[in-house]
Amino acid sequence: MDNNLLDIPRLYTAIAEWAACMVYLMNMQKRFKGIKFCTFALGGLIIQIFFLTVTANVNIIFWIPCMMTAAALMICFIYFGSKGIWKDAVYMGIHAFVFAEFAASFEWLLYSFFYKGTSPWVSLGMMLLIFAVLYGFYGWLFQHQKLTESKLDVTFGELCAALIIGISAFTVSNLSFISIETPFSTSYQEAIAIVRTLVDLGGTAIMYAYYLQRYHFRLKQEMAVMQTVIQNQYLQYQMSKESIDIINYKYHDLKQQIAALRAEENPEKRMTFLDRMEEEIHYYEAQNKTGNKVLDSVLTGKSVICNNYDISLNSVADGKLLDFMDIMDICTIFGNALDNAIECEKKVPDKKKRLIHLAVFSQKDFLIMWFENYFEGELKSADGVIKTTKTQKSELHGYGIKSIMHTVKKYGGAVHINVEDKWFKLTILIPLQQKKEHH
Amino acid sequence: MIRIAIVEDELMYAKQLESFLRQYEEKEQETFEINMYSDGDEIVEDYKAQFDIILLDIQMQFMDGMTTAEAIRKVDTKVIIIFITNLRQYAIRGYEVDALDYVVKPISYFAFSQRLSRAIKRLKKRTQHTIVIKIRRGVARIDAADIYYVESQNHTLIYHVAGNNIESSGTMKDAENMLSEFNFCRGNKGYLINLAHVDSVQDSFAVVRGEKLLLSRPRRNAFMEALTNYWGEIR
Repeated sequence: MDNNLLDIPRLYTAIAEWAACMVYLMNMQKRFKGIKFCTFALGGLIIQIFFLTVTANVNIIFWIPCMMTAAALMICFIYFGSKGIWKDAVYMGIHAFVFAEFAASFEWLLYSFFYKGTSPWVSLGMMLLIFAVLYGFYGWLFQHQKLTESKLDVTFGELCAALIIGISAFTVSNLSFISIETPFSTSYQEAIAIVRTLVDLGGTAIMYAYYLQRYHFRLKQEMAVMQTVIQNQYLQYQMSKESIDIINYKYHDLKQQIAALRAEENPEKRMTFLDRMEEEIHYYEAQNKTGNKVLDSVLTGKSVICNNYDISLNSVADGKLLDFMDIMDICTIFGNALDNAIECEKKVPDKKKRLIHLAVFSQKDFLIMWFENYFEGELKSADGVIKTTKTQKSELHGYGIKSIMHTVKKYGGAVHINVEDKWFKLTILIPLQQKKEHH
Repeated sequence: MIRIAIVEDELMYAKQLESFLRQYEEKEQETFEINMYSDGDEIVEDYKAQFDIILLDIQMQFMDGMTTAEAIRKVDTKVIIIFITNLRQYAIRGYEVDALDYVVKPISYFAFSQRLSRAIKRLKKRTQHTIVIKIRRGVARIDAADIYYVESQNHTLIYHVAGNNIESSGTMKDAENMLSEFNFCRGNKGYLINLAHVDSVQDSFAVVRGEKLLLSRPRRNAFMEALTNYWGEIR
């Protein structure tokens, strides 16, 4: 067995480490774009290669600090390349480091097994080929599962877990390399190389599994929060439905009384007064008659809140268009959209300017909903999530808006948010299904 | 100068609207030419698309606002109609006659001015945009708004315009760059669709002026978002 088996060229290690970082960077929100990003990536590669080749022949005592520095360089590369946070970068960096260790030793093991010659070109070619396959698969794993979010928001505990896994994998895989004087060490080169590869594979697998589990846990949590948001709107709907029933009941009561009054002989003036009174009541009854009972209730409920805060809510809504939607979904869309608007209006100092416009109509084969509200100054929702400078448009979702999007998507529609002058506008578009005769 | 008509049978409201317009003129440095009508039938009679914006009361004695708007739309599809109403239930049909907006009585200057400036903004956006495309014997000039969609076949681009197809050489990228400001969106590799002409979306198809164009799976979401953006910001 030749002595080469353990001496992975530092160039290869550097490329492995750099490529692992790139897999993560490609899936994250990058700080740079286009040419700038390419320059940045190239710079990272050069630094990594430079550092590892320069320190290739240092004393074994310095080997561990060198490896730690290499890992730190990777973390810096990820941090400065992405728009992320330190914790996220460290978390990703540990992942990348362990995977790179695995990739490099795996490649070298295969190479030493299959090729006994000395041509550096064959070696280089094999390295590129094996790395391409390995990293292609690794990248696919993340992309296929749509795992990497723009922000991971790693907690301290999660970071510690990743650190422990990373350090364990690294220590155990390199134990024999540093010292053969431990019970777990061996002096057989082949054994060392195989153990190193397998332990790193194990480390990578554990980290990936942990990552996957963490991701699904987060997803579940988010769904749970959204569910409560939806449930809340539904509860509010039921409450306002009850109070509307009472109002309607009173309305009929009152109508009876008026009829009774009229039956008596009264002066003409009183008669006209009564007429007017009835007309006024009728106006109130008709306030929120959109043609959809669920929407009526939601609107009535919200207009009570609007009244309390002197917000004028103007709605022009053809409720019949919503008949194909579930009660829950109507509550979610209108409840949340109006809540957001109301929160925003509360902060407008001039009460005359507290305006909300709502329109539900169809044009062509589309159901269109507009929620518009006037605002002044910085725009932030109650939970502080909506920040709308134009560039941040895509990430301005509180759970309210998130649940609207989730709901609208069920019907194959889409949501758009924009700010024009001092108006905030939420647009929802849902394609209406064509009548059967077209099929 | 912006030409505005007020169609309102109650003198008090008509006067108020006029004074609001004058106020707006002064504050926002616009000039209006204002014409007053006291009933729908007056404006419909001899209507020749001479206005940019019509403020239209819904409840009027001889010809109500809806009927008036329908009659106006037969002659003029471009004029911006804003309904004035005291019952917002009545305004809902406004979207059938493609009314841009509505103002609910009693009217406050602030609310009115906000809606008016929105209308003026739309008006200014509506200028024609002629684009020039190379054809076999020279060039063709077309209004971007008249293009239904652009189809790419091999190295030929086919512009589907009202009534005829115009063939041109070039790539989809070229067409996309040229039309980028005019609310076009790719439905799949082969189609660049004018969002203004999308009549409906059924499953994986966009129906553009009666023609079913396939939306590819990866592009469907982006297409729906662009379409929503169009209905939110442009219309």
